[in-house]
Amino acid sequence: MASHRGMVRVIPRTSVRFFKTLTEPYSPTISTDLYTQEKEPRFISLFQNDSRLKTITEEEAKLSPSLIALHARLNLGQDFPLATLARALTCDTKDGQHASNSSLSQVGKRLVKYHVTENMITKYPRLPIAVFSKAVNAYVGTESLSSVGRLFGIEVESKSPIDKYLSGETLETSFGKLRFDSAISKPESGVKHYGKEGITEDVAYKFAVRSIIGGVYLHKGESAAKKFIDEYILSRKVDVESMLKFEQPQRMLLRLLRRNNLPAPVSKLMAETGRHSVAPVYVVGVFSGDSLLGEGQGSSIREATMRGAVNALKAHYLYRPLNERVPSDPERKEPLYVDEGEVYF
Amino acid sequence: MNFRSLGLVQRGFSPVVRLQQQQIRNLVVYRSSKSKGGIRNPDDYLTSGSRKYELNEDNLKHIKGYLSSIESGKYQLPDRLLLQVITHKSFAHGKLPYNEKLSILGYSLFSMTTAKFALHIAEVSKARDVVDVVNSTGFKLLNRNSMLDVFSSLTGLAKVVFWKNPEPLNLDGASALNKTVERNTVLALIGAIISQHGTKSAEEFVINEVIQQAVKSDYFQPLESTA
Repeated sequence: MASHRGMVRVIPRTSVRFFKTLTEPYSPTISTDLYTQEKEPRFISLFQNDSRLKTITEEEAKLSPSLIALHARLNLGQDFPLATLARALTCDTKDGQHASNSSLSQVGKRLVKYHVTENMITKYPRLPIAVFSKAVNAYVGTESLSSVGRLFGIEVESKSPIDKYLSGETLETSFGKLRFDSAISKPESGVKHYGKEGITEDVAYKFAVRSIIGGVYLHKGESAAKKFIDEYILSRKVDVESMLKFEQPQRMLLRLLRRNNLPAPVSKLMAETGRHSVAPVYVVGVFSGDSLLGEGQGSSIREATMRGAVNALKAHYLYRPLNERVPSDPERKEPLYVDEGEVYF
Repeated sequence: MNFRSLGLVQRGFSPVVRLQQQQIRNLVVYRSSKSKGGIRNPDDYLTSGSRKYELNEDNLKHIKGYLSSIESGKYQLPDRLLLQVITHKSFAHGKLPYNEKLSILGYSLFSMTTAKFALHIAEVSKARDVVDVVNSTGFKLLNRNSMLDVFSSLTGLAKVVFWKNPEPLNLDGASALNKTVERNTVLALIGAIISQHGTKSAEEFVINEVIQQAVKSDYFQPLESTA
């Protein structure tokens, strides 16, 4: 408890206006007087939607030791109120007394989706769309974000209200835990019931992580949110190469070269050993004109040719430009290369 | 042609020779009605309505004119990229550069910008809970597909798209233009602006042009009266 009090002192006791601390000025230059209250009052009025649900106050949030610990662990800084973190951990529930994280999650989702998309397009501009979507999903999908949430050390509120009452816990102590209506119930040992209402634990973690990102944007600005995404989401390793699969690589390579006005692929046996043994090895090179596009080896010429074509396609689709600065980086001066699209046959 | 049936494999022809022999053949393209196994003359199918697919001034003058008319040409794009922007994946079986990836990039920016813009409006109008703007009518309207439709119809982008009309008997492709193709073209234009001018410029384009066009039109009007 002593350490708890110590941590409280770090956070300033000045009252923070809830969600009114967009620290950085809005970056795009909006044309003068386009959307002012005076000029478009009715348009502006469409954006007013004050929820009647009460929000968790900073004073209430400070009563949760696990919330303070999570705040410190994520190094969110003094600009990020504990109340926002408490809201980020509160999912929509049937008997919810406080405003949930659904709005924050929406903001976070859009931010993370854009930054991951631009990052993937910058890094791998030629990926086929199906692989591209899979790779983006590997960063921002439920599985990925839920594991990020678990790595953050977010705990799930598993106690029922009656258990909490019996153990003498107050409502405020649960603000530091992930609260949601679970879709899965266990009516008896070894039996799981999947209900229609509620969400799974993974989805709840996903909402919490997105909401924390949304909160970082609101209170610390866009550059801090981008840094947060870089550190916690984009730092994860995704093996894009293993996602590429080709059913008919030779035909696909032919179409690709034809579209780029290059000579059709020619396979040439470059080396072989043990042709008359039980374990022959052939090395086949796939050429377009004089250029070697890919090389493959196999126990038959056909297998080696196919592997050569696959390697040639991989070399094309996994191309990475030298400049990996994303378009949102102000230091990027040259245009971003975006592929012309994959070929079909 | 089956080389095994010709007895070439048995006579000791290496695979290299076989593949090289495949290169030596005459390519004949045909016109008019379909012929099984034949290759169609590209001039026959590289058209959309009465327009022929080419990198020329005629095909690009509309979109170039629009881009040069706003912000004194701040968002101008190279011709080759513009042609890619107005080419849908359905055109020529995806053989030519098409706009799918640009539209994916554009969509992710568009949805992020609408959220940021709505938060900005809530901040300006001093809402009690800024983030609650996500549940407002205005935010929902900003994210409807029909808002992109408004922009594409007002700027006339729908008329210049190269795509394959699913109704081949309808020669006037523009009248039956699929709404999805229209939206993808608008999003691809946003994606192209990101690629050439950066994220910030593209956000400005969305706010000062796409949203502004919708505000100027009667897109928000019916709901404004009930709000």
